[in-house]
Amino acid sequence: MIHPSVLRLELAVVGLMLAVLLGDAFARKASRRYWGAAVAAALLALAGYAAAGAGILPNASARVFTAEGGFLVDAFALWVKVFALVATAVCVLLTSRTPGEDAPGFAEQVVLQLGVGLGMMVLGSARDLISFYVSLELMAIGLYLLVAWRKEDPLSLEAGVKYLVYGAMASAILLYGMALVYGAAGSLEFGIIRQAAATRSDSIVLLAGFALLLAGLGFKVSAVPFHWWTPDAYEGAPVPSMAALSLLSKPAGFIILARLLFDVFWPLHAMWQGPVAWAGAATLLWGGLGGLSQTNLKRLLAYSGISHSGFMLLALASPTRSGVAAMLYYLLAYLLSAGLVFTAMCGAAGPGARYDLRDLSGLGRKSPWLAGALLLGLFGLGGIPPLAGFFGKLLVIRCVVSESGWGFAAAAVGGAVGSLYYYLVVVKAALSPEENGAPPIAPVGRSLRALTAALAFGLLLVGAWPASVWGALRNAAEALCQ
Amino acid sequence: MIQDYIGIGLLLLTAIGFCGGVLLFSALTAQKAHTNPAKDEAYECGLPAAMAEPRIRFSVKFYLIAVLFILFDIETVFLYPWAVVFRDMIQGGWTIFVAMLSFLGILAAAFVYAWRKGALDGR
Repeated sequence: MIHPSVLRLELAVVGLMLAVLLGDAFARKASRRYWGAAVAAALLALAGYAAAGAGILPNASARVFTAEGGFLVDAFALWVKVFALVATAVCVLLTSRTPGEDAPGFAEQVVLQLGVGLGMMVLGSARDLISFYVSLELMAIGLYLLVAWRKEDPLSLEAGVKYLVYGAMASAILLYGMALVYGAAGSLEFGIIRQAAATRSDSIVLLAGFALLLAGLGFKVSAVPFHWWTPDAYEGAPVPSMAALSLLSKPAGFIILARLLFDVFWPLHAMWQGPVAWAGAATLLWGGLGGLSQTNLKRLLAYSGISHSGFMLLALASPTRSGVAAMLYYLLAYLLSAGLVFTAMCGAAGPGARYDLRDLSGLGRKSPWLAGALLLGLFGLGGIPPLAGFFGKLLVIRCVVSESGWGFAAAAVGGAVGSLYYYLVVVKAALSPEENGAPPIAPVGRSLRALTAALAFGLLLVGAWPASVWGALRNAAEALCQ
Repeated sequence: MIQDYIGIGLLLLTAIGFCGGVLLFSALTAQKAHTNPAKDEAYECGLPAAMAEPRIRFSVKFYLIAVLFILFDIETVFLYPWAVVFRDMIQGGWTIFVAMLSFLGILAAAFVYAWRKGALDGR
């Protein structure tokens, strides 16, 4: 039986999607200004409601099930919903800058982004293999379209095809893993799979299924060696879709990874800790070194994203509550700083821009506001105190030192230094005097200004006063590790 | 053991017998047809000279109608089992009714959208 009141947040997003779709069918062109801002405001209101418990959870340690146990709301799931709603609002606001609210396909793009956000909200609550897979596909199908959105641009199409082919492959691997796990455990439910993992940890079928699940999710979070699609997909995708890839799809991968590692396959934690740590270290170094020679901002950010994935994998390789809480904090810092960078990118060029580094030249003179946002975002990504990125890295490295050892901590520091170098290359490009051929900049609108101000404030607040979110993150981690 | 397969054997014999019989019958009784190049050409619905050049662009309107068809096809597939269990499950409350109604509502909204966007204009 399904209790719709437990699904109220998701249903609200579905309602929003239908409203935008029907609005697009009937509204006149002139009445579309502020649609992006209106949708984002609705999403943020929902996020506030979710942060206050949404009237579903009586207290932080409660668990509410519905859909025959396939859908779970706990503090962890609620945190995921807050995150997804905020990240979707950022993507929608970026879309209302490029291509803009009066561009054809604006409403469709917003609907797809809402769908991707909805997928992440359901994924946070997934409690059996069906809701897990369906919500993951809900995200993936929307993203296939969003990545290839500029269909007149061969680069965007190439990115779309590459993402589609890799994504289908990852889905197939994931499904195969699910089939094996189902075969070994005899049930789709996470609770029963957990019992099977505890009692039959020597079952080769279960272990093979688990390994395939990890490989499939490795694609989503672009962990080495499943990261090859990332730079190409990021380079071709329009910036709002790139934001959806890195602010929604990747965090969703980490969320379900945390659910699998710390809840469903917790009995096997002695077995997965090592491989996850090694994958994390390799991902970190690959991202930190691969970005060094990039001359295109989008590719560079893709490598930066890979390096951040490495950090979060290392956090997950610490089988403690602090590891989960550190991962959640890192995700939040990533959302705020990467959001700032994407906002500056959307403001600094129109649709179809290539974002080569030399195109950024003169940004500091042309628009100090955007250059400031870019700078702050990059410093946040690089982990300069007192921004949130610094505490994220500190928390992760502290967990790594105590759980995985100094070798992994050294890899983390090395990767962080490498990526800090290439962030500074971008800063230098943005502050250098204008070269010929750098594109002109449209005036920064009010919604973009509000977005940068909000993200920058969040980045400073969460960084300088981590206690403001730490309690909520700690509750989420406690709810996950039962 | 082998008796279990008698049914399949019978089906096979019937199929071969029927096809062969029809072909034989028409070969024996029908008038010899006149052939021409157009008749010998492979036929594909909606596409002229389908075998000429595989890399052709064809109209997107076929694709749109196919997608819309699949949408409503799936809807029917979903409606049948719902109708079968409806009488039993409505005893437990109105959830099953409201759930299907909202599913149909979403489909209807998508349909209205496609209609307004001109997907059914056939141009």
